Amino acid sequence: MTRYLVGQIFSFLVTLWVVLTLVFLGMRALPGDAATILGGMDANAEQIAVIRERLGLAGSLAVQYSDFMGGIVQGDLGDSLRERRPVTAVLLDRLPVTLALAGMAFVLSLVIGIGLGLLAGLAPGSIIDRFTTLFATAALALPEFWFGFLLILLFAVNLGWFPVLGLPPSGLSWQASWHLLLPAFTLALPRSAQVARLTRAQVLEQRMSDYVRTARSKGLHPRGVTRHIAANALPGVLPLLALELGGLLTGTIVVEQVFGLPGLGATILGGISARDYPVVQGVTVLAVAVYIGVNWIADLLQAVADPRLRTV
Amino acid sequence: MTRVRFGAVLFAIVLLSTVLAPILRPVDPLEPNYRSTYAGVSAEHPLGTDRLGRDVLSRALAGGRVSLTIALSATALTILLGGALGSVAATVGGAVDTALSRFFDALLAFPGFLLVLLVVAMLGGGAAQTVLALGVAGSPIYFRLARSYARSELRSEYVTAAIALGASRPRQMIRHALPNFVGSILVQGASTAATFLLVEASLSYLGLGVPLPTPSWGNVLQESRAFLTRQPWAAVGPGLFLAAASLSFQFVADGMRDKLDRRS
Amino acid sequence: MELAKRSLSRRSLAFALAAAIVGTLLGTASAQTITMAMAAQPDTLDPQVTSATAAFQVSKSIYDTLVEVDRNGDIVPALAQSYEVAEDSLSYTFHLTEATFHDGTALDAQDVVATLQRMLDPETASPKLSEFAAITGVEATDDRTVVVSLSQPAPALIASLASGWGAILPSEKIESGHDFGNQPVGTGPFAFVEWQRDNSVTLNAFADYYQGAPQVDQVVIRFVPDSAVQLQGLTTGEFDVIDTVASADQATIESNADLALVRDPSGLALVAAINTRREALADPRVRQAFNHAVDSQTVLDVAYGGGTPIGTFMEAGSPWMPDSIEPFAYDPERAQELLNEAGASGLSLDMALPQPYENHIQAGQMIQDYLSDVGVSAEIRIVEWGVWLSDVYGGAHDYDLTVIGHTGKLDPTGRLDGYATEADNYPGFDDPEMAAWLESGSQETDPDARRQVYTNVLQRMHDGAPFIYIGTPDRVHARKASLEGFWITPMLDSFDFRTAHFE
Repeated sequence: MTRYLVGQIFSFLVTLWVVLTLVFLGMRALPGDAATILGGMDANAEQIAVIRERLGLAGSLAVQYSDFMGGIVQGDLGDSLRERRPVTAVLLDRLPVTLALAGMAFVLSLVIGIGLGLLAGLAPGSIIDRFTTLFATAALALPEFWFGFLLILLFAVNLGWFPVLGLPPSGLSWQASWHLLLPAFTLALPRSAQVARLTRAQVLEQRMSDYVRTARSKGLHPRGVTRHIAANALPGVLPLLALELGGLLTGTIVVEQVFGLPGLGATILGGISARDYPVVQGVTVLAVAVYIGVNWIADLLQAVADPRLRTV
Repeated sequence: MTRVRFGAVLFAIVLLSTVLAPILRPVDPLEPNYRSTYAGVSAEHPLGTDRLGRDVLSRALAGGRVSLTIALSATALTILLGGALGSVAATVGGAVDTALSRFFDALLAFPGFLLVLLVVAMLGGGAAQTVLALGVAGSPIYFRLARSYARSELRSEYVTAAIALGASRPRQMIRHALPNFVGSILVQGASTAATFLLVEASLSYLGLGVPLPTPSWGNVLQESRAFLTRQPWAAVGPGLFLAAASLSFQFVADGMRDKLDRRS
Repeated sequence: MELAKRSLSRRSLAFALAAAIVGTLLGTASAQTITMAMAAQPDTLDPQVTSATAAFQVSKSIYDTLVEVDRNGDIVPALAQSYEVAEDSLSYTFHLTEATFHDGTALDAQDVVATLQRMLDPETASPKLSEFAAITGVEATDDRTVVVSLSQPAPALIASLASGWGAILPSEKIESGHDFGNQPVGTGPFAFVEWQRDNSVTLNAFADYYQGAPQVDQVVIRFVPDSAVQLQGLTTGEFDVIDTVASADQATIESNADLALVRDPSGLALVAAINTRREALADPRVRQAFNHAVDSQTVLDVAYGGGTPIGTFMEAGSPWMPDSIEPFAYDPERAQELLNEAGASGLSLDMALPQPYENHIQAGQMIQDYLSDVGVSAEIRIVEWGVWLSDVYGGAHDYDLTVIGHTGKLDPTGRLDGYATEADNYPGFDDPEMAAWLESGSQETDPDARRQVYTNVLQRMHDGAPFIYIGTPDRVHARKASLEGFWITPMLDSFDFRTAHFE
């Protein structure tokens, strides 16, 4: 177990290092830098050189790289070149919006997906089962941002039930949940399709299993059987749910853009176009760490759910 | 089975309409008409016009050609890349196998959309860049698939028998092992194509994909966002095409997967 | 009909409900807030380290300058109630008024000294540093008097001091290294409360404002890039004023009695730069032909929502625009003649357009279309803003044609300096005679002589045509009809809420 953990941590660190090095080099390979952008059309070459110096972009690539890696080791992501404050502060500002959106989407996909999956699996061949199968395919094929357009057109523009704009001016508060509902639903739809699909498969599998047959033949009340099936089917869905959570953090990028939400998606897109290297690096570190962490949890859950995979 | 057929028919319709667009709808997708901007639905313009007065329907059809080409070539690239390297890893084994497996594991440990986004941002937007980014990002699945198939096939009896009969390893790979996993790779390929279609559109929507004025489904939709309330058909129409194309791939993939499952 | 009525009443019910909830939440019905939607967002609120118009549009409410621009575009006293220029034009003496910073400290001469020194400090790395380069010393002769000495006459200095980057900061905060970018402190009519990036800036009325407290309690500026969403918010009452109106929406707003459409000339000079370094584009006749080939009024109407064509490198409303210079007429035949004369045929050009500037991209597509009518083909290449700045505008000037707007400058030196020397300007325009004029113009203190110098320069810019001159777009903004007293500073395009109030 310890060896396994050490191995995992080691491979995580190597992955992170490779990714950060690539992002570091890739961002700097782009034409233009934060100094040219801050200088705009008015600054001449000399002034841009001064700004570059001031932003710490004048040193050689090797020096910048060792500064950056040295900072990372100490948990310091550096300062945003555009916002001129620590990247951690920038991330802490934006993370709650993305987390709120991802959290709402997660809950929605859970409710819709497990609900449909259970109903379909318990009554194979029924209308609701056919609907679920169709839904599971169609929802995956919908372009997310386009679906967002449709929701905006229908519910915000024509019916006027929802605000057209991302967040209330006060930012995140309980009021904001109303603003977040449409984007969360947009984000949840394809994910609920996957959950529904897997839940249905798990339920069907349980129905076929011996204990259900035994319970039925012994005359157990159908409701009791159903409860049994559900209780045994749901753990099998858990790993997928964990994976979804990992995907949600970056899945929000497009949806944030459609609904004008000031989350991590806006931060990384803005960071790329403003050549704000530390911010792009910071969001990448965060996204990769969360993604890998959640994948671990998924693996663990898988092992718990399926004892055959328990190797240690 | 009906799903596969439905998917195939739907795909044929979308494909034919985009390929035959110049004949079916001989309106230049780039020709502006400043006197008829944001026109609504009419006989002349079934999906209206955009802010430069260009015909949205012909833009959607022309955009389909670009988007489908990108999604399909990226799918081909990703299958070739992952499949070839996976087969190589399994056949050669040893350090090559370890190195390749490590590399693709690392790639898989990266949130897919963020990877594509970063790669495209760094290469600069464009059709070729998008194909490359998608091709790389999608390859780990095929690497794993190809590698595990190849390994199990290499261990199987008929291959052992063939080797005993004096056949060389690579030849065995191609002769015996390959045809057996082509089927599953194609199933996976159809669902990858559906995903790529959506990812390409998302990239173009974020302004990182195919640059204007060349229309693609993504950038036509991106432009339409600015006048969503004024001319909703410019967003709804091209989006329906995109959804239909993606749906057709998805149907084919799901139908074929069920078929394969049932057979095994 | 029946259906429409029902959905309407349901909506009004929802509104009443929402209003009731919001009302209870705020607890006060009397507090007056103006909510504005603007498309761009500041990069920082530190006025000395940015060149972004959006930053100055917001910071205008937070800071004051020594002198400022009034509604007519004239420079009038502000924090300096008066100033004198020395006989030799080598020093300016400013007499300060009584004012208070938001942190409670009183304005004194030391604040002005510290502010200007911060601007001149290379550590600050201000992109506007060159506008202050003539300053050799700043001195407080007493509490309320500041003397600025210059190495050479600099008639443009007053314009720089009236611009957003001339904002006066408190000296104590400067010394302590305060983060003005995220926590701005000034003497302005509104004090900074909060900035939620990509969402909103909140400002509260400053009761001790030296010109008297503003008439509303709060200003909330929302960042809404999408013009359709801005309009939606204006009609539903979420916004009181919006800064971006698409041309297609102008009629809708004009027909709505609750809304008002305001059309002012902006301070922009929109141009399509022509890279004169290219052999095919070196002949002025080719460049004049391009100017005749493009219907600039239509480009302005379709891509920018209306405006005034220009015939030289100066915005239409500027007092420096000579009456004698007419815009190029839209005349494809004349364009064809000029191209034939120059022996240019089968031109194939590279047009770089800056993302995310939708208007310029649209204008570029239109220009491409117009040029194709006279047999000139152009391939569009969309480049990111950072790439545009470093490779098109600067660096190797990798482009044949590009579309951009040059922001308003109160003094012509800011616009024109460098445009006569190949190495200093992106179209690569080179004219030694014009260079000499510009040199004299930057130091000429006699107003009439100075005007003549710049008229000559602008005439040369017209004839040499290093640009396809498009024009000055109207700055069209829309507001609730009940909102009065809001205005946008001429030339600088910044937002002024000082007299804004609801009728």
